[in-house]
Amino acid sequence: MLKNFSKWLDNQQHLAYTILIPALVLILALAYLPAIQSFRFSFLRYNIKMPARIRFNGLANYRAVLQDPMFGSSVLRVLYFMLIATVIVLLLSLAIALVLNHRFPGRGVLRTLVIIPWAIPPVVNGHLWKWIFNGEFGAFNGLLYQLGIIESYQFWLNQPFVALNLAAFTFIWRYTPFITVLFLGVLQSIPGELYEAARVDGAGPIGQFFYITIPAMRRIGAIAVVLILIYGFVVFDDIYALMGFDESTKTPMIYNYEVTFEMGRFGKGSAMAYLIGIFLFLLAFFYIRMSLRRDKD
Amino acid sequence: MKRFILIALVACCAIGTGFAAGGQEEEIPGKLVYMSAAWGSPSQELLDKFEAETGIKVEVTTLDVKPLRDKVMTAAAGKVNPADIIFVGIDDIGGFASAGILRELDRNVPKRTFDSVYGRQFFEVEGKTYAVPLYQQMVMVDYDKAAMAKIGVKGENIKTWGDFEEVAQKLKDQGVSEYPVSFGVRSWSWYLMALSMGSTLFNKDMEPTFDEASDPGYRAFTMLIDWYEKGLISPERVSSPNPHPAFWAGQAVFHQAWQGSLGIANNPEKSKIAPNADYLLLPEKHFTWSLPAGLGISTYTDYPKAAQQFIEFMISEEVQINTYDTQGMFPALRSLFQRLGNEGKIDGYQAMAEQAKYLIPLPYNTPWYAEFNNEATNALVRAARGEQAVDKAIKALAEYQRKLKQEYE
Repeated sequence: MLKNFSKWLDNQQHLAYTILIPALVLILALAYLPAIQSFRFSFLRYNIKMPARIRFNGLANYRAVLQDPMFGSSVLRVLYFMLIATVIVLLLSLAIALVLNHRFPGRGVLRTLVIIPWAIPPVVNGHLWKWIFNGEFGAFNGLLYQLGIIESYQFWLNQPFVALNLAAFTFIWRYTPFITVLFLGVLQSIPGELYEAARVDGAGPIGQFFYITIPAMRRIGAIAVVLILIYGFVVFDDIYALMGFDESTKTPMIYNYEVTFEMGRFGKGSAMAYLIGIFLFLLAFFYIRMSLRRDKD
Repeated sequence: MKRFILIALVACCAIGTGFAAGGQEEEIPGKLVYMSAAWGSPSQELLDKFEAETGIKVEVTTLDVKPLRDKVMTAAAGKVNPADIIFVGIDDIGGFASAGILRELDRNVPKRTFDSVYGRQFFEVEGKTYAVPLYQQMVMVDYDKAAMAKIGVKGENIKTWGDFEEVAQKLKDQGVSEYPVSFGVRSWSWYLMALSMGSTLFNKDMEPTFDEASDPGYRAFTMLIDWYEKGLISPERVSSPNPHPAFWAGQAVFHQAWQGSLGIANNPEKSKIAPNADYLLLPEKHFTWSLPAGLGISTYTDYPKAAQQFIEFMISEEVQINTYDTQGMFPALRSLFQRLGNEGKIDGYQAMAEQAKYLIPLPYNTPWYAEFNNEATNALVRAARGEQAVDKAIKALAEYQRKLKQEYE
């Protein structure tokens, strides 16, 4: 039998499929089976605390999610979060990438330092900022107080809108380095001759930026926008570590987690996950389309 | 390459067969997994001792209460084993038991084990016991005697919550403490005040009573928010509701605490106010509730006997006293409690014994309690932030509980 199998493997295609089998099995078991299972859950009246009363209830979970005001407010919240995060991350990353693209002493060290926030685990990032923004002994208050900007310590995380913006800030702090690296890669691929020719033709730094740098960055910029939108939508750990289930920073992902695991409502939670999934699928579709077009170019 | 693939396939089959064979055995396990909150975990020395005595290695996974609950619930949905032994906080007993993740222990754990500890009744759901008590935790209030002396007041002068507020205001006005009351803006602070004012929050049919203006639960909710607005409670207690660090740091004078907390508050290595912390007999009707924790055995463990053996170890005198010394968790073991009390080794023993006469249960063994508890905190936070008027927050919370109860009936 082994001999036959060995012969069968002589075919390159058979060999390729055989090599792929372990990875396929793992992906199926760890990603697709749970996804299929939760799709099934989304049509069930399934509360883990009432295992004897699980039954089919059609689209009722989807209807319940769409009519849930908490879900609606969490969507609006995350849209705001994504908007400010996208704009600020793009502008900051571009600025930092432009600086790092120039030759100056210590550039290597600075590039390494810039990437550090990206390397910090999200939960650590959340706890770090929770400590910094603490109203009783936080470093942020200390700094503002020492500079004379505030007269007394402020309870930043207790103000819902401020807390949401600070949550966005922690996201910006962590994702800016990643986008900076993407931008830097493209900036370094622009031939120096182009800038040289522009200078000969009388273009100043601003003209060079708008007529050479920006057009070269357009494609990666679009990809960066989609990536930030996806990361912004699915961000969980940082915000959870910073604010827990506080309503002021409750995004659809956090609410989904709360409904499913805190409340044990696996049916409604699964339906919510699929509604979130559709939105993410659309974003991922644009991302893949842009990536493929870029490869083509 | 081909040879490599063949060898790999044969190896996979062999390993798979080994696992399958291993799964059928039900002997002494090489390893048990205990999923615990940080304060329910014994020291490594004690775990090593257990291993030396029994040959069973115990791996402890320490988690915060919420992630622990989420992992257990996820495992319940998947019908898999989250850990062999599970730390069961009282808030979770109803949910875990209803989800079917805990074994019923009445037949598996000897009666003498249950008889040796306080609080078995807290872990009963519909007449069945699902966990062995690990520690007792009556909810109490600590205060800083030295800070109170600065304004010439003693703990025993506080007879009502009105007195309590008056003293707190005086402490604030005289600059003794900027935020004298360290109560988290969360359900526990409300329960503490409501019960001691004489409310039971629910009637015998588990219908809410706290939404009637005449009920002390209503008054307690209003008073708590009022204190927050007056600046008696730090605004930080909304986003960081843990009340303990501020008290131990000497920033607050009153503190929502637990039975045994003086073990930490009066330890100079852990608290700046040591040795001046003392328990306050809760004002007015004095009632409080308990937040004990127990140890349950997973429905899906292959080693229930070994798990039981570990539970017996956890309620042994040596481990119980270690948990009290290191975490301030009051021993559930009756003999130890009595011995420590007689020897005068329990700080505040008299106050504790007096407070223990006024203990009433909250409905933690219902499947809806954990959700209600979360929503109660949300309601308090909304009211404290001014997002919802106090009366509306109370009415909405009562309505939420009615719907929940109806759903689970």
